[in-house]
Amino acid sequence: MQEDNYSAPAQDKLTLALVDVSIPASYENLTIFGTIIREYCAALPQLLQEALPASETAIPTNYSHLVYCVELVVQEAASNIIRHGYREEAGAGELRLQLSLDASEANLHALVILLEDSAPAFNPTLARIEPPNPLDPRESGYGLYLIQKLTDKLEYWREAGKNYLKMVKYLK
Amino acid sequence: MLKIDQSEIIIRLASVKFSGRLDAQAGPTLKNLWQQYNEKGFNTILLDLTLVEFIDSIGISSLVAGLKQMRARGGDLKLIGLQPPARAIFELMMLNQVFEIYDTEKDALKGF
Repeated sequence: MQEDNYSAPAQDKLTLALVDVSIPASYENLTIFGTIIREYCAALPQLLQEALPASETAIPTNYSHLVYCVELVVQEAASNIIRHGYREEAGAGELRLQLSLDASEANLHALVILLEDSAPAFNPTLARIEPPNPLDPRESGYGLYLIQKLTDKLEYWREAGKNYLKMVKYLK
Repeated sequence: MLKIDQSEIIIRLASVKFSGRLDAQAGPTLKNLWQQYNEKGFNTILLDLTLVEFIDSIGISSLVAGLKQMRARGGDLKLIGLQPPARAIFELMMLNQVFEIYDTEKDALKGF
């Protein structure tokens, strides 16, 4: 277990099992995030049980769906940063992913996903999101819609020239 | 008096199987693939996704692009073996109402 080493607007009261990894921002490297997320999620039930022996409600029922959703929202947010933030330039910057468990609310444990980048400021929580239309399916612009639909809380802030996107997924 | 209106639809079908990740990195590959099929005169693709482990929005967008191109040529792009987590995402994006999705190639061929 490590201390939080970022300053979020609201500090989590109890943060467990922090994973912290940085990669050069490229589509190829996103598979590294994918692998880390799958391994982290695979260890989640045991982590929860060891850290919070009293908790019974913490282990999600539809586990494979949860893992897929977490990998997908990270993939969507990160590839948006690579495309629009870093403009797909090799060596343009890094992407940092932190995963942690927030057990500050008694029966509502959450997986906290924090993405950090040094691209120009962009607040995805303010972007206009068009819902899908099956009568006229689009060929782009699904990423933010998926992030919004698949997370329970979404926060953005900018600090010291960096963008921070915090995505929270409740374990229920 | 009997009147006969005739029309002919020629289906040129390609069966393709993907494996691995259908993501941002795969986008350009798919774009080239649809272009190749267009150039070769194919208008129908049966796309087997049984072995695809992950699909993101760029992968999905590429499938929509392929579907539109095939339908514009009088054909279709039909999906086979979409795995449950990806299927749930398709439903969230209401794309289960856009694509014909089948469990097996045999089922897909029954649709003709």
